[in-house]
Amino acid sequence: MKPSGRTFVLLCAGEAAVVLAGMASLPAAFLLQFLLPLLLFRESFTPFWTGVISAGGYAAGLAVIGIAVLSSRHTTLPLLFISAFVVLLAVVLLLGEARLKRRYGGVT
Amino acid sequence: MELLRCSRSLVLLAAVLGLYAFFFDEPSAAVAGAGIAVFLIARAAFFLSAMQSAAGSLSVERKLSHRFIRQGSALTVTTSVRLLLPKTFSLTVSDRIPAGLSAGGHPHAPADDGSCTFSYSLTPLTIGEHSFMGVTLSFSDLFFSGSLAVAGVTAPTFTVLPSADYALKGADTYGESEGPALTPVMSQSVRSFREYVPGDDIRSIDWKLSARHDSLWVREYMGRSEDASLVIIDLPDAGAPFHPEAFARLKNAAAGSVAARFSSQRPVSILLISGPNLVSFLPRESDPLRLMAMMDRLTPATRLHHLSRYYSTASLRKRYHDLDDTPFSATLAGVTGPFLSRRPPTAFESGLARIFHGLRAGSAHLFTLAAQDRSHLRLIAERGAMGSMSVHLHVPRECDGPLLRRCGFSSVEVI
Repeated sequence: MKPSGRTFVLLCAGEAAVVLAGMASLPAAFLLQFLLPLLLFRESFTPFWTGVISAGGYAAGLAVIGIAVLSSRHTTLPLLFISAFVVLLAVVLLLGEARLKRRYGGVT
Repeated sequence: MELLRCSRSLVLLAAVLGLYAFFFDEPSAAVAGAGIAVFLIARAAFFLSAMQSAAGSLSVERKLSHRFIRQGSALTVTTSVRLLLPKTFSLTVSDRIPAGLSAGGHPHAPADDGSCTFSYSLTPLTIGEHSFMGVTLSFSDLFFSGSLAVAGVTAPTFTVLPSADYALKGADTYGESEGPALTPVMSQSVRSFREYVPGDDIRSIDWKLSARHDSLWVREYMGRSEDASLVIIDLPDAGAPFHPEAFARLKNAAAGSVAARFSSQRPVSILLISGPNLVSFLPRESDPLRLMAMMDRLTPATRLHHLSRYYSTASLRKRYHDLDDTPFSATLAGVTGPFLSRRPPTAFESGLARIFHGLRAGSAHLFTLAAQDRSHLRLIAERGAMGSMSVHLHVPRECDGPLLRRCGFSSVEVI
C-alpha cells in the first residue's frame, strides 16, 4: 500500500507535463490533471463504485478550479479563491471528524 | 486524521506549484497545484466516510474466562471484532481495558479483512465491578491515518473480589479480626457453600459437594466478627479561619474516645485527614505513648487539595440510574454513562479505599468541624457503607448537624 519513490517522481513529472500542456491549451491541462492521479493512484480508486464516487468528487473540484482560473486574466485572484475553497473544505472535514469522534466516543 | 508521507509530499508539491503560479502568473501551474489539493481533499472525505461506515457496522464480542475473579489473579479475555472495511484500508483494533488494570499480551490485532480475534490477559488490582471502555479503531490508507475510539461496546462486565476474604489471626479475646476458624470440628464452623472463584484457597474446596455438582464448590467458614474501630480526625485548614474553642472541644472528645477504646483493650486505628488530604495513619496502634503523642499533635494542617460539591462516581451512577423512564432521563443516562465509566477516583478516594479495605474495622468515628466543603465527609460515609462499616459523626454544636444527617452517617453526635 505504501507508494514508492518512483510514484512521486512520476507525479512530479506528470505535473510538469500539466504545466507545459497548460501553456499550449488549458483544457488539455485540465484533462491531464484529472487523469494523472487516477492513473498513478489507481489502487486507491477501487472498488469500482467507490472509485467512481471519488473520481466524481475530484472532477467536481477541478470544475470549480477551472471556473476560477478561466474567469480571470491573472492567477492571483483565482489562487486566492482556490486557497479559500480548499481551506473551507479542510475545515468542513475537520468538523466532520470531530463530530464522528464525538458521536462514537461518547464525549459530550 | 494525520497526513502520511505520500500526502505530505503531495501537499508540498501543491504548495510549490501554487507559488510558481503566483510569482510567474502561470494558470496551468495553478490548475496543477489546485488539482492536487482537491484530490487530497476528496481522498480525505472518502477516508472519513469509510471510518464512519466501519464504526457503524462494528460488532464486538468478548469472552471472559471468569466473570468473578480474585484480586491479582489473571483473567483471559478473547475479543472478536467484525466490521465493514473498504479493501484499500488497513485497520488495527485495540481493546480499551478498564482503568486500573494491567494487560498481559497484546490487546490489539490487525483486521485488514474486516474481522479479527485476539486474546490477552488482565490482572485486576482494584476490587469491584469493571467494564471495558470500548475499542479503538486505527485506520490507515495510502494518504491518511486516524484513530476512532468507540465507547459503546463495553460488555461484558466482571467483578473483582478482594484477594483474601479473611483477615489474619488475632487474639479472639479482644475480637481483633475475623479468622478462618480452621478448627478440628470443621463442619460446625461452615457458614455456607459457594462456587469456586479463581484465587480461592484450594484447601477450602468441598470435594464431596464438588463431585455431586460436577463443579468446584468451596466452604465459607464462620468467623468471629471483629470489634476494632477507626477514629478519623478531620483537622481544620491552616489557611482558613476556624473556631478555636470548637476545635479544642473536638480534640478532647477524640482523645476521650481513643482513651476509652484503648482502656477496654479494643484495637484502635487513627486516621488524620484535613479535608480531602490524608495527613497520617496509625493502624492498630497498641503503644499508648505513641497514641498520646499523636493526639498532642492535633493542629490545623495546610490543605494541598480541595473538593467542592464533589460526588463519587458510584453515587452519580446511582443518581442517574434511578431516574424515571422518560426520554430525557434516557438521554441523560446516555450522556453521563460514558463519562462516568472513564472518571478516575481522586487520590483521597483511592487512599480511603486502601485504608478501609486493609483495616476491616466494624465501626468508625469521625470527628470534624465540618466548617468548609463537606464532600470528603460524604465520601467517608459512602466508603463506610460499602464496607458494611457504621460511621458515626461527631461535630461541635456550632455546625449544622441536621444537614450532615443527610450524608449517610449512622449517627451524628453534637459535642
